[in-house]
Amino acid sequence: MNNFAEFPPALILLIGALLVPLLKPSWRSSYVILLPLAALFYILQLKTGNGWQFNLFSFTDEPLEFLRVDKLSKAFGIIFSLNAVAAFIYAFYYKKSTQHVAALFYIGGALGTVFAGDLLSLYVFWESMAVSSTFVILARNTEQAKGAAFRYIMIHLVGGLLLLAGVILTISQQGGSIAFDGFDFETANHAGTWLILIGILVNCGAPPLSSWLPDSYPAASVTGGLILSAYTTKTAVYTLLRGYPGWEPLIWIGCAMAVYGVIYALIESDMRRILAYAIINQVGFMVCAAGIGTHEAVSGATAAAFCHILYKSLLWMSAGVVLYRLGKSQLSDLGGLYRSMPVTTVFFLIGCFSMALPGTCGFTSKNIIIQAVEHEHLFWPWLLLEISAVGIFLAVSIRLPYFLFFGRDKGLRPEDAPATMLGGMALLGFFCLFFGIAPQTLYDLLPYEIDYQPYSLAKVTIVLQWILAAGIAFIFLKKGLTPKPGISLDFDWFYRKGAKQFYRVADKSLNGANALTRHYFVEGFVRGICNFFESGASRATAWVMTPIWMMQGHDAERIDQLQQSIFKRSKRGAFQIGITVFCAVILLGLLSIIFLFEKA
Amino acid sequence: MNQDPDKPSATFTNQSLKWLMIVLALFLLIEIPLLISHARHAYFKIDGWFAFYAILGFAACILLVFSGRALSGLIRRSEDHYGIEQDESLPEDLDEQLR
Repeated sequence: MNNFAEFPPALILLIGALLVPLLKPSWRSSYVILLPLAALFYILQLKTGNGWQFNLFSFTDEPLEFLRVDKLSKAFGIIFSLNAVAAFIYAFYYKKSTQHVAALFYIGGALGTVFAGDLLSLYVFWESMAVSSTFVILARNTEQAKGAAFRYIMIHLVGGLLLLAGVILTISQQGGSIAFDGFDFETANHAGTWLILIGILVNCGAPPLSSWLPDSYPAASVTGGLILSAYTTKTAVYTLLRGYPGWEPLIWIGCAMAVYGVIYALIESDMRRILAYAIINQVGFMVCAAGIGTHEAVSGATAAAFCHILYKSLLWMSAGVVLYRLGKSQLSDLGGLYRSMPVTTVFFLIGCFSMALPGTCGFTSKNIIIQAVEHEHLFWPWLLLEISAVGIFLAVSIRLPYFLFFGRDKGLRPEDAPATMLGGMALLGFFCLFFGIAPQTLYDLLPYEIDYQPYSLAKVTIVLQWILAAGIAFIFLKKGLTPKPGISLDFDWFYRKGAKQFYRVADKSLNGANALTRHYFVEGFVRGICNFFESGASRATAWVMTPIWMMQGHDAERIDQLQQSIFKRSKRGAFQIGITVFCAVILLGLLSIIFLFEKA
Repeated sequence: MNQDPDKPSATFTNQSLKWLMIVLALFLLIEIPLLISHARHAYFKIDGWFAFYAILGFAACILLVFSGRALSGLIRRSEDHYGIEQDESLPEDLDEQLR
């Protein structure tokens, strides 16, 4: 398939994005919907194979490969472009071109990463995502967004550099091969692959490299946060599934992410920050599945990523409507909104229940991962994942809608969502239910065939049991779960407060040392030296002459006059030294004449 | 016993007793088909226990909420902790009727 008719789907968005600023504002919104729609149809008809290969570098025989189509990359490509279509329908009201261009570059970068066939082209698209997503955050143009975008790009540049270092080391380890097809945990376990892994884990949001996610996504605009929530973490999951299946440490990293995400989601009070922590929790499941690495686990993680994008985007959309209408996102300011925004409430609930309830896509996808863990008989990972699955249902599917749309009425009566926003939500809501009712269509997209029956009696009753338990627990624990205004410190404290403290310490110690040096060396020692050479000779002269003058019988006044005249002359350089110099020159002349004759 | 209705302990006992009955009834209802059909397949020992997932779910919620509360005492701060000046103006991506 090495022909140029098959081009990378990222090009549709990357080239299309360049035309956005040239269009009339009224056409822009429709145009940006058409681009990912075209990419979606293009990806759907792509056949398995490789294409767009270029020999750009001399150090390797292998070409750069910008198009690698297999079931794994295709599944991610489909959901990325489908989600982009829904997101741009939702963002129809937004007419400014900056955010649209940045978002298109960002989604294009994500598609490029997913279809990249080698380490170098992967790196290029990876970095382009980091840069363009920073502009998506900046597009909100508030002080908070600027600060968050700065911290975001710093973290991602560090991650990107680690990735680059890892890529270079790995290429040299592989003997100049730039191939990227799954590193083996036993044979490819070296510094290069570990650096790549750390670079990927930064984008996954694995603690302690996680706080950029809840810091920056809620700082982005209504549609910016929605678009960001789908791509960075999921491209990272894709690269883990592609490159690191069966790397055991990932099992534990995934469990840590799941538990960390759920505890923060439970104590957080800002609706979009809760959703951000829920992303970390859900991505933890997928990272864990990548660590297991069996066919069932990899397929399960792909299905979970696919469905997670659907329902998490739906949640970001409906929470975005609340923010759009009210400009508030702290749960303590919100409540009782179902009265005036019933349709948004329904879509939010569809998104919530899609995390676990039978009949939705979360039930048919996430449980594959749990079953893969069970088949490997990993007791502690299984227990941790089950606990965090219940916890995230409590935090996002019960607590969040309760305090946002139901709960205490705060007298807020905003209008329901505009029609285009509803359109975006309806599209995703439909697919959430569709893949729950007809899961086989989802399973056909997965990289490996799996023998999985989602609707068995045991699976349905088990899920119903713990959902019910979570509901009952919520009634008992409602008081402890009531959101209180404030923020939660996260790992970003270390570089937000810590950096300030470091600056203060550096300021005190280095500037203190500087001040001391200035006081004792520059103003003390150096000035002393200067004084010595400037007036040392005259002082010595005066010091030697004073006893002589006293012996000559001058009185104190006269001696003072004589001293002052010496100082004055020394300052002006006006000592009567002409005769001395004349004698010295004559002497030198005589010496040189003698010297010359001696030579001859 | 103190009959003051404002006392949380009094209301808690009445309320929770009622709920506890409902919960137990529901758990039984859900567990019955599993017991009858022997559909449950235990991969570990404990997931074969009676009503295991209900107990796990409830215990998990309590564990997580209480550890979250313990943690929140340590990490919750006021909104201006990082000294960000709160913008009074609304971001421009919001509803025009707000302005």
